[in-house]
Amino acid sequence: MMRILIVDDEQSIIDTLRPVLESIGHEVLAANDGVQALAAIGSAVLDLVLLDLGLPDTDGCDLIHPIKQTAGAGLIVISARHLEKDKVRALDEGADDYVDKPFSLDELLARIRVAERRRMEMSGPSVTRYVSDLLTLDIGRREIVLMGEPIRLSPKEFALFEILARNSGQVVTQRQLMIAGWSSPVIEGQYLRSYIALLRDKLEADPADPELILTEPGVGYRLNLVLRPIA
Amino acid sequence: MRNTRLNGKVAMKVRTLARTVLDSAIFGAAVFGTYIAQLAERPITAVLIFLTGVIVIAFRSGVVSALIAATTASLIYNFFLSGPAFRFGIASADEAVPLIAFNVSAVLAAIMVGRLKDSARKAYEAQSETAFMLTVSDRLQSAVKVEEVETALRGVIPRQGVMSVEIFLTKGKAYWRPSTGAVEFDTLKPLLDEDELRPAGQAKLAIIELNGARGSLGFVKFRLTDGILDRHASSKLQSIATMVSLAVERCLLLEELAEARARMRSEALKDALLSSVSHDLRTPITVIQAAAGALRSAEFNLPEEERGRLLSAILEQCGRLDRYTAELLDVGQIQSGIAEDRLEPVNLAEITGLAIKNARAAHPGVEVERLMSGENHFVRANATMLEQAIYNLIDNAQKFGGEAGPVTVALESDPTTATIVITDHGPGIFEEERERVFTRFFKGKRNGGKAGMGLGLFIAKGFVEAFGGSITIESPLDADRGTRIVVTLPVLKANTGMIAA
Repeated sequence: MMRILIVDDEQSIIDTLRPVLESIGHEVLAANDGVQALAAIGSAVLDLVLLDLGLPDTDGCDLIHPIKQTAGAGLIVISARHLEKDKVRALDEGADDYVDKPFSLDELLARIRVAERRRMEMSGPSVTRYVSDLLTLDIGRREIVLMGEPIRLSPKEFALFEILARNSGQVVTQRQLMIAGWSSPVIEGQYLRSYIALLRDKLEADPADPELILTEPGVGYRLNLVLRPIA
Repeated sequence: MRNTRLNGKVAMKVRTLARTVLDSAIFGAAVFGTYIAQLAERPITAVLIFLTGVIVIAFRSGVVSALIAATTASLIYNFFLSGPAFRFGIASADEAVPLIAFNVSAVLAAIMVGRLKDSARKAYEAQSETAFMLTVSDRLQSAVKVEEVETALRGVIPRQGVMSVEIFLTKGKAYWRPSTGAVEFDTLKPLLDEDELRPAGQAKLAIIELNGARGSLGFVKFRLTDGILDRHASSKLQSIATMVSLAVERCLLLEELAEARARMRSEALKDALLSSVSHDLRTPITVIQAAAGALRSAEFNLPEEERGRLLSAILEQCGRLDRYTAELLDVGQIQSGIAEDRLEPVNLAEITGLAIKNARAAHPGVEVERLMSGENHFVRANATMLEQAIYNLIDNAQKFGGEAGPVTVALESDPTTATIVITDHGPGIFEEERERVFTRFFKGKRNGGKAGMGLGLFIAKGFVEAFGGSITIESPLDADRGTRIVVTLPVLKANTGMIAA
């Protein structure tokens, strides 16, 4: 279904993931370091790259640009370092999502499915309507209907929800949210937290235990919803 | 110190005496010349000669000598030369006029000469003052640590009425003297004159506060030769104090900068270590978790052969985690210190043999040559830790040098020292890495992905040193290849060994 490149210096991880991914129909390529990764990016059409940030010869972040530019593939960063600043940097440089090592297979496969869905479906600014079993979103008419009930959002709340919806299932960094809501990446984090709380009040069944808008500590937020674009 | 001052005073007296004698001689010569001229009936010449003598003395010795000379000259002139001879008194205006002219020109000449001399002396002093200040400033510029500031002044002081300089800096509620490192909690004490060797009243202190951009830095204490400070001298000390403040502040800022840099470096190192450890520990867990997940889920429908491989991967990674855990525990032991009661006489030959056996089992593809006499060598150690240390060294040689040929392990000893030499024929170690191979979490550039956590050599060195031994490394051995690791351990005396055997 997808051609996936795994970039990891640990052969044992590649050996474990390869049969699993192949068994569900993906084609798997592997690279152990930055040089091999660049060669693979240049020589094959890729749908998705699973990139470990801790490579022996390169800083994994330096590969993000070539992957997005040359291959145009989806990119999930896999990090064992768990430093928020590394993940945020990778996401801000263009990675679509991240998974921490050690990850459960279910978690990784869920992220891969989101990436696959986004790749198959049309996306981008031209799409203005999204649906899921829970809600419908019409960006052009600025309408949200949650379980049959129209929800009224302020312009700022709507802007934040729009970017979460356009990246549904994937993490959106605080910086990306700030730019969407305030057109500035340096606003006080407290403002963002307040607006997310307002959104949760209007959308979540229990705002104290959110199930739709999930917090990724130190990184950003994730809309936990399968939203399908419609024409 | 006092002697030189004494010598100075004697020398000055001698100089003054010599000057007076010479002035008297000039005066005598002038009187004699005048007398001759008078005898030759040349009164104008006589007066001019006399006048010249007075002016020369005025020129040489200043106003006071000039006035004495002029008065004496006018008296002599009046008494001997002008009529009536051999009597004081003025007979006519004709005789009074030269007398007045005489004195007036002498005094004027002397005053003018004196002024010239004064301004010349002042100019000279100002120049030497400037030169002195420049020297002080140059010296202070050369100091890069606060400890050096006082030393920098030592070359230019004592001088010009200042016997010594001491710099005290504020340190919390105490004073700190950087040049000696002494910290004085009694804040009044540095302000007192504690030099008991000097007779009372002979010298005084001038204490000037050092002010920097961020407030008071401390103070500078000048010990002076003369008790009284005129306005000029005190402004000079003030200037020196200002320069000292600047130098001290500059040094403090430099030190802060260096500290900040070191802190940044150690932060970066800590980050690197943490990310290295988390990578090493999380990689096996990732494999185990992913493989177990794949085996549990029916979704993947993996063939039996693939399931077997995933199970092997889980077991293998469990072994790796176990090794890492053991290594981290070993590091913990080394860092907390190995208690003396865990050491006992150990047969080094037997332990080395065991390490070789284990290393052969771990890397069946790499031959290990055993060069041992079969003799027993007893050392004081912990058997498990010693085996671990020697195993780590052989394992390291096999991993990074084993592809190029056999690893040799040689054991020899003399009455005091046992030596284990482990040699491989691999690519060797980069010169810039040689010092660092024994540091924690070090992984070389040539590791080719074979490195573990980078703790093996650190643990080997830590254990061997805990047993009173040492490890050295030589690489490359010849033609850019090969590494030799030499372990030395102190040998126990034969009878001690017997007991343990």
